[in-house]
Amino acid sequence: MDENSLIYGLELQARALTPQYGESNDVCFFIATNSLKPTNQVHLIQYEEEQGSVQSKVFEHALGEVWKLNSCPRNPRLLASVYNVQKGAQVLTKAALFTLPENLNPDPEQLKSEYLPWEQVEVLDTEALGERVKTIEFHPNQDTLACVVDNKVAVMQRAESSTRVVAEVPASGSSSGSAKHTQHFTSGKWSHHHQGHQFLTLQDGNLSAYDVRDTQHCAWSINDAHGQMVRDLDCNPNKQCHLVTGGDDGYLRIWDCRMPKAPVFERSDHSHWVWCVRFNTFHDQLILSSSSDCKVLLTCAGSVSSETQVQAGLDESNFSGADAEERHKLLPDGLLQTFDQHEDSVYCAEWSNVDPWIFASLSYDGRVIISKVPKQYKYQIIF
Amino acid sequence: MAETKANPFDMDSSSFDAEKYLERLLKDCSLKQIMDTEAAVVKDTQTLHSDMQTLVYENYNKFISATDTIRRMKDDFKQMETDVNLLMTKMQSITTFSEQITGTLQGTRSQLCRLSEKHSLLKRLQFLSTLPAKLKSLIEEQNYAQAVQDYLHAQKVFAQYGRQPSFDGIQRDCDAIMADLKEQLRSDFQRAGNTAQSLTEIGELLLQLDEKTSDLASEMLTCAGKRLHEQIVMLQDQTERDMLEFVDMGIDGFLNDLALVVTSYFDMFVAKHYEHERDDFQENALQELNVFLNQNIEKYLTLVQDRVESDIGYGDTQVMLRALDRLHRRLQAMRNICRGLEVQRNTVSIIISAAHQLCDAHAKNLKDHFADSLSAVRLSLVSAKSDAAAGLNLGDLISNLYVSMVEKIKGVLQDLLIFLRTDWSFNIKAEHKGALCVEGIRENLLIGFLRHIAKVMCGFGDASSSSPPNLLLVLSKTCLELEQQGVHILIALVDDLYEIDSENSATLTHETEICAEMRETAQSLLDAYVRLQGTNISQMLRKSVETRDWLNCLEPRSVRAVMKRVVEELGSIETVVASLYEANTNATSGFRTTASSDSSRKTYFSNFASTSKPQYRSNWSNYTPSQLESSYVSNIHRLFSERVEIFTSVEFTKASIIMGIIKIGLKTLLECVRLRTFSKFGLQQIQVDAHYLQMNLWRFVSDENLVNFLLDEILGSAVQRCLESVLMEPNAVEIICERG
Repeated sequence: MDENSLIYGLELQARALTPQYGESNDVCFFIATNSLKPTNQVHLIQYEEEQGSVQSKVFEHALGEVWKLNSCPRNPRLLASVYNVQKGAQVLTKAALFTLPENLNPDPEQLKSEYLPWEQVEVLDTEALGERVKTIEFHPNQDTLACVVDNKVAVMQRAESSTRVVAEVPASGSSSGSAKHTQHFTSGKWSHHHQGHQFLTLQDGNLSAYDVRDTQHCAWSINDAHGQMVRDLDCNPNKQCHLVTGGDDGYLRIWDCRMPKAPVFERSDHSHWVWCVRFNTFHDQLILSSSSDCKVLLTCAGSVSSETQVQAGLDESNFSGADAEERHKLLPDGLLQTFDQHEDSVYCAEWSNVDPWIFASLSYDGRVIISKVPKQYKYQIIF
Repeated sequence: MAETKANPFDMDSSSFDAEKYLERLLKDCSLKQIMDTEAAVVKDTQTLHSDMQTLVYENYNKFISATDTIRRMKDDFKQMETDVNLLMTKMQSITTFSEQITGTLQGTRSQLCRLSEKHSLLKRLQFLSTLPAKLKSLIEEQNYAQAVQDYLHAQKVFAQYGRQPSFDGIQRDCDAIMADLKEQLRSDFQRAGNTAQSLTEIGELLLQLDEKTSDLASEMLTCAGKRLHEQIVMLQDQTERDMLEFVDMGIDGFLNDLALVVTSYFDMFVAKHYEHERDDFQENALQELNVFLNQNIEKYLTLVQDRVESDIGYGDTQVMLRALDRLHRRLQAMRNICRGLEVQRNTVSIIISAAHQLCDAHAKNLKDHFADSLSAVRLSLVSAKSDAAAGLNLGDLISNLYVSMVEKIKGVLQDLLIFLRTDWSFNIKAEHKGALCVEGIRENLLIGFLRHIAKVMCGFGDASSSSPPNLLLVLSKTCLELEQQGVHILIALVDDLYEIDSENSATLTHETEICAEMRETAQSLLDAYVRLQGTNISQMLRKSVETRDWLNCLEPRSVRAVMKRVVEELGSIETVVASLYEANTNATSGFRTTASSDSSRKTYFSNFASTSKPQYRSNWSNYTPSQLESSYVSNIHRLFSERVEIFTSVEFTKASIIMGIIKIGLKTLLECVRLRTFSKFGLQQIQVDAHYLQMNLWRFVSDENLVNFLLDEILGSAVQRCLESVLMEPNAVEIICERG
């Protein structure tokens, strides 16, 4: 096995992974299981780089199987999960907020079970909005949650002690007669730019951005981005208007939202659906993507990254031409590395928010692999 | 009797010896003989004697008459002497008379001589004095040549007697008239309307009139230049005429004039030597003529080239080439006439550029034709509603597209061959540029077109273009055919027709390059086809899984309709694909057709089941919930199995194509199943569906294991996603499936 990677195994199927965004010192990820068997778990794993080992804390997720996890960027202890519950002959998808305890290392004797206790569990009231919650998204810098439910996007203000809906954006066509199968949103994400006023949604093959200050205000949209379903998107944190999408056609595409007609960059290295795409927060030419072809790919899109401009500026001011060229031999665009240690579909892959060179990927069979960007690329980017 | 010459016995010879004769006679002969001889001798003697007498008598008579004659002559001579003496005296008197007459006539004769001299002088004077009038009348009659002749004649006289005042006046008059004439000639010379012929004549006259040679030379060229320019302008307007007429007009008008001007200039200025001009005048004149000639030829050929450029691709190439050929011959002839002059520009370059242009035009034509036939193919694909019918004529479509394309290219190649016909006076290939052009036919026209085909076809394979799947299949197959045959045929044809040695050329594109390109295109189109069909199947499966309420379904009694649709769809895809990609061997294809009939399927299925059952189907039937709980089984299974690549390249065989489609469909089903939650009956429905697929899909593919593996995964995932994992009895499943 590759010395660069470390495996952590779960006993159950899993499809939810998120870095602990609020944590700023240690490389930590949350993982949640997705199983119909009684006890689903949430694992908080911490990667110890020196020892090359993983420390884990296991919590019980008693509410049901987890489909999606999100951690709060401003509060390391806050976590949102989307889970299935059975209600009679129906399956509902609901959402809850979990708060970690202050002390993660309690006395073993005090523990009643094998699991650590939550400090607080708050089930969000989403039943009024719809049956199926797709995701709960923390606003990057406000105490606001966005909740994607069925064909609605609701924004919940948490400034007050309780949550309440301040904006509701019904999906287009939801009011039409074909109520049997309306086009539901499949996912959503806050835009890092536009003063946090835009929320990006995915709906089958379409991508639309809504301005949350108004209702039903579609700022822009990219239609039929992948021919088939768009599975995931991510915003370039360092470059306005740039976002990456992955879809059922196996393509990875980078778009400039000002030019919705055609992508500015595309690759088709995956041989099946792309389930997850992520920009590296620090070096946004690095893009991580995972797919049901059991692979995690590291792709370089230097030509459309924010660093091209910065470096060009630096070159002109600081270095003489030849020197600068030698120093900044940009990585070529394209596939950098294939990580194929997974044996099943990889539904999640996430960069660490602490160390820009570490990422975790999670396959359906419950295998978490923590990997590093290969050294040669790392050095090429740094120097 | 007498035998030898000196026979002393021969009486007739001079050496006759009578004694010996007698002696021998007496000795040899008998008496009788002697007697006879004696008688004969006597007789002879008598005869001779009488003969002698007669002769003497005759001679005597003659002598007497001669004596008489001489006597008479003596008398006559005396008379004659007196006559001659008389004549002598008479002649003497005549001589004296004649002397007398001569003396008297001497004076008159010298006078007569003077008179006749004066007469001729007067005649000449008269000529001179009437010269001005004569010149005028001659000029009026436009008989310039005579006038100049007369004037030149008079000129000599003037040169002799010019000092006398009376002549001076006449000379001045003449000079004035001639100056006028010169002026007029000059203006004629400069007038643009002159033909080259008259220009030459006037030039000659002016030269005789002592015009300054160098001025005249340059003037002649400018005038001729103007005239030629007019002709060019005139030619420019002849747009409605066809090329042949156009060139004929150019040859008759422009080139003939040009040739005339050039030759007369050459004769007038270059070939002759002028005393009073500088030494290098001839050289300069030649040089100027050269420049002039080249300028005009250049102008004309530019015009021709423009014409050719505007005509090419529209008119008949043969006519045009015939015209150009004629022009080429003419210019060649002209080059021979104007020896010592060099015509820089060549008609061959025009022809070559025409060939280039025609190539381009043809290339465009080909592309248009290709686009047309592509849209025709699309149209017929769209209009062919039922898949079965489409399956039948897909092959026709391909062969139509392929054949029409190949034939069209062949036609074009034949068409262009006209440039190389051996009966043209020019030989394109002889020139470097021409050879390049011929190679250009290969490179730009043929190879370029083939590349264009590949590119355009590739465009259809793009994920973004929404082409009907059968179009992709047709195009892919066409590319494959091109790769396997067409490219070779066409390149061999062009190499053969144009005698290009492509094998040993470093610059020419090799056949294999194009073949590789074609194959790549065929591959990408086929992959696009598989992806598209796979996506269609996927969509059906995805919708069916997503919209169904798996928690609240009833116990499965039948296979879901969508599975049947999928199998049907695959069946129709198979027939379409099979019409293009026959199975590898006849044996298997025969096997497949029987397998597809309903009754035999069962038997084959049971065969299949008995052989491969233990290996694969045991997996499901033996699953128990406890085993399934830990996903080790499937994990271990996965460890030992090959990783399945879903969106990958397929081979050019039916089985591989269908397998590619099935893989995409089944993987979709797997992913969709994993997103749902199943009740017991939901799971059983999946079990039934999976079994049905297994029953029906194996006959499409060469590697059943892969299908079974994917179906295992699906059922495994469904088990994991099931609230109450209880599988159906395998027998019950089989019964349901066989019921259909």
